[in-house]
Amino acid sequence: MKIRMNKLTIFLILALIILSFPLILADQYVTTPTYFYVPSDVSFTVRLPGPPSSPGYNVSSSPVGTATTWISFNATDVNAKGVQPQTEGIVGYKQSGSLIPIFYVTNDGNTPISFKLQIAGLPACLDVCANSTCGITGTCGGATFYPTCNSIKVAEQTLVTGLLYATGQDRANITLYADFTACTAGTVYGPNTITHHSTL
Amino acid sequence: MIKKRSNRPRFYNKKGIFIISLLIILAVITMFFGTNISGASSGSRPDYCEKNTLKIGSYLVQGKCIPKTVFSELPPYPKNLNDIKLLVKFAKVRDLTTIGEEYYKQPEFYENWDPSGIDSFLNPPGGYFGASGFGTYPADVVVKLKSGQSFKVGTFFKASWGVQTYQGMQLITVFPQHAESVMGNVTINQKPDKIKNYFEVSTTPNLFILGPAFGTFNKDWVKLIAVDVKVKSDTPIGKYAIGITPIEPPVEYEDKWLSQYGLNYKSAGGSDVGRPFFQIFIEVE
Repeated sequence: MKIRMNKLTIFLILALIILSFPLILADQYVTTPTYFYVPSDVSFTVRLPGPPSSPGYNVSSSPVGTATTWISFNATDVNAKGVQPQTEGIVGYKQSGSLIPIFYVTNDGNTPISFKLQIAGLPACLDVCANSTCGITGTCGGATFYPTCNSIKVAEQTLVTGLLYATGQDRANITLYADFTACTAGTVYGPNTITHHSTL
Repeated sequence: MIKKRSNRPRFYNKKGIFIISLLIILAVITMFFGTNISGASSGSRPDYCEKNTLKIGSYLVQGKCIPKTVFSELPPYPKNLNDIKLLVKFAKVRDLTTIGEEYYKQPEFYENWDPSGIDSFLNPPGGYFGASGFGTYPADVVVKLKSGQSFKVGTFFKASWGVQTYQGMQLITVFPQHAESVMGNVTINQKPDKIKNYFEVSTTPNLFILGPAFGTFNKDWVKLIAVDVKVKSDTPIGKYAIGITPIEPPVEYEDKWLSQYGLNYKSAGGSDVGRPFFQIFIEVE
């Protein structure tokens, strides 16, 4: 009985030591990194004129078609003004003012965004300007648009501010126009990258 | 009546109970903190159809629906998807990198699937195709810890609704001069050149391609990104911001993906949202 009691005492002491570990290490526990995820979603979509896939059509196994993600300005006059762009690679998908804009932008996240454009590295004989309108009948949720066509050759231009997340309706129509001034006939200029810059 | 005594001393019975209890406690701890959220049983995906119906004569005709083939490349729809979605939305899952792909590859996992995503299938804009667009969810995380500690956070990089191209991107770490999270009510102003010396950051994967989110959902339309951060021991108490954002992939990858996907390939370079797509706000206490 006495031996059993001693063993029991040793066991209890060991158990107390083990149980006191969290207290001894308490400082470590309170400094465990704490995380707070904010359920914000930052997403946008840029659409171009072109043949859309059908829902259910397998893009993975079959290419969409001949439309590309490149646009071009094709002039028949070396001094052409107000030339509208088209989606490269397929005939018939050309900008037609604000009725068929070259870019159709939606906010697919859950915070309002702004949208800016710039085209860098254009040759001296070319200039490109951009403007914007609300893409629906209505106010596009109070977003601000810039209908005056300002050059995007030298500096970034703001085209939309406060575009709300898409509800299937709100969208910004962006239109571009190119002016050719004494360009060389038969020359292909470019490629140049248009930078889409959206801000919160 | 003679009571038969056990040959085993009572002490060993208690020891046995103690060991079993310890094993149970360890098992419970492992269940709660060490297990990936995966392996759910399959459920059935809802039908997505136009709400309005057409009345032809005395017949009611259902409006168009999203074909089932749209989801054919995705993992089976988990029965408890909505539970996991809400746990993530309300920040109850501390480590998002434990979420299984059967959850995060479902479009329903994301908050704006209804109505934006559904609408992109039921009412795609005629004469237009989704050339580019991507985003992150969640886009912001706040972490509080002490200098010298490390942590891991996750986010989901996804193609935007309606996009039908393959978008190649390389993720880089940036230290913005100004960062804010509108929804998280956090604003940071910092000196990038100084701040970058306080952290070691690695992103996995950091070079990848997002598949289309239209036509059919490609199996790679969304990627789970894990970011490991080590806060160096000499980091002063304060608030900092780290950004993870995509740029154009290296030329050799651009060439490879162009030859693989042809006209359906688009580089993620040239588009940004005026802030890093994923922001990590760190409060060193």
